[in-house]
Amino acid sequence: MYKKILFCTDLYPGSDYAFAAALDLAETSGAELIILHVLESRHRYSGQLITGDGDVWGSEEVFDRLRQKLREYYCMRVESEQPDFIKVAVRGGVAWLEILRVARKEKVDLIVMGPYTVRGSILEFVSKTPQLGATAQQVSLRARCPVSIITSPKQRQALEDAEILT
Amino acid sequence: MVDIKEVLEQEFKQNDAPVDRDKIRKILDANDGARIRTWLGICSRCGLCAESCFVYLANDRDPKLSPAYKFQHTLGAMYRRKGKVTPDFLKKCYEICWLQCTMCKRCSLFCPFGIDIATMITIARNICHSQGFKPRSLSEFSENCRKSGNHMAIPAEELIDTCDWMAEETEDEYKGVEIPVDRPNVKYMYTINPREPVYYPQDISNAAIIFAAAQESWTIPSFGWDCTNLPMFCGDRALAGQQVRNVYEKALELGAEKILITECGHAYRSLAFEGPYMAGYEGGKPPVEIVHFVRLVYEYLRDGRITIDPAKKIREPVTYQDPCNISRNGGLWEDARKIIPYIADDFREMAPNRDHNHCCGGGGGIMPMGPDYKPARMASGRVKAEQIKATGAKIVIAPCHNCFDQINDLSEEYDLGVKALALKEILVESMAIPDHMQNV
Repeated sequence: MYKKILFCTDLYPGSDYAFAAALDLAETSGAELIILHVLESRHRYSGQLITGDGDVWGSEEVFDRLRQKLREYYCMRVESEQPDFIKVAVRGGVAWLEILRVARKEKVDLIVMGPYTVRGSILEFVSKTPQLGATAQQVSLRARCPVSIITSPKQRQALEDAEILT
Repeated sequence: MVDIKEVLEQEFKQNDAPVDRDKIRKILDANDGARIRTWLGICSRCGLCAESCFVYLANDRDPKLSPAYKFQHTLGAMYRRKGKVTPDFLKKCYEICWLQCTMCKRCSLFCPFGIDIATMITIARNICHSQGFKPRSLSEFSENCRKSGNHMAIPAEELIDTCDWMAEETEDEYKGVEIPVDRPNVKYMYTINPREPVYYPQDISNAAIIFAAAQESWTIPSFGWDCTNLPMFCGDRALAGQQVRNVYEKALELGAEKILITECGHAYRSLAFEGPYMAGYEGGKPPVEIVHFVRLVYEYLRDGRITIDPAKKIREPVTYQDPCNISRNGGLWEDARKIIPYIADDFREMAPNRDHNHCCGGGGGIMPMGPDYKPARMASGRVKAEQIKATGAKIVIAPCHNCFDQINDLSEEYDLGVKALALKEILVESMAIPDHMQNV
């Protein structure tokens, strides 16, 4: 069914549901699965990227470290011992742009992602009043392939409470 | 001034090398001509420059923020001490050079002797840089320039891929939009800010749509496409020269008639005016004519090469941000005003305006110095925020990436409720789509 699936993670547990769906689809279809995370900048005229270790200058070393962490985290969730159908990618920039860039470059036939992500200068995860995130919106508006937005039960409830999904 | 002592301590922590006085003397001697001697000697401390400076006005008129104080206590003191300065002195210079002066050159308009204070601050930055006192972020961007020719280290293949992508993006809406790379013998070699392919690739497609509408002969080069010059702001004069040389040489190689600059202010200053000197070209003239996007848009509208759909004109109140390096230092303030009646009905001037307009507070390199410096940037930007607020405008046309981001930040900080827009974005939204671009 699918040959290449792009799963986009915001590194929050909510996206684990999206990963489970992406993995399931990849295994069922025998597809390659690309896991992508985009490190954002606090300001667009800055070379510093926001990471778990604070704001750091975007370098190959930073990307390598995160790639390694992502591989460990997600490969633990795969039954196969040699999940060579999984590829991990890390980029710096605006999340929706980089997702579209990678999707185009890799010629993926499906994008799987969560409904909202962390954005803005304050970087607070406002779970009480969620919105369909700008990233999910932009990706689903502009992608040239199908986009599957997977909500966790908690996210779904929050979206329903906010009357976004009715 | 806002206290960002901790940020500065962090910056200085990495630099524990002793002061190299010979190096300082060398730079001082190289600049020790009639011009600098006259300026340093002729300043009568009249104070007229003080009221012209937005940093001074925004920070309780602290006399230490008057332009005369700033150059006397940096370059002036370096000459007086014959280069015998201490690390503490250089730290103070760093603060003055990068936090208290955006080199907007407004003070020169008010100085009865026309002293060019920005030029002296540039030399002081050069000296600080030679001693390792330089903003880390600008320094990292400069290293990217050294390694790749552009400040975000974007490989050529990624730029080309972005151009292809953006051309594809226009296919559904417009016919015949292409983004040619390295096409020889064109009229315009179009140079851009590296932030465009990374953060605003639509800016490239917007330019391509405008060029297609005007049936222009143009290309993006695969190298020498970065029109910005962050080494110039970092105080690295040699690398700043190389940065402009990359652009000039590529234009000559491609046989381009002119170099066109995207909506970026300091790029115009760098390539059109200071670049030839930094790169060592005789006569102070660039080898290829430099055109800024503001000028091009005016010519297109004047000559009818693009037309505006009256139904799509902006109805909301609009004001125009004169970027220092496009208006005051680039001479294009009237071109911009000739554009506005085509695109907006309700135009409101800021006061002061044109060549006397205030800097937005994001120039001179402080914007790419990163989020740590934002408090200082926001405090000094109060003058601009008040100017914008007084117009009652909802849209600020800002044909400069620095101004664009600074105004959006100021809007948030001072609750201005305005949106900065680039000219390209406005044009693409409001122009009449010519027949040759209509998708049947």
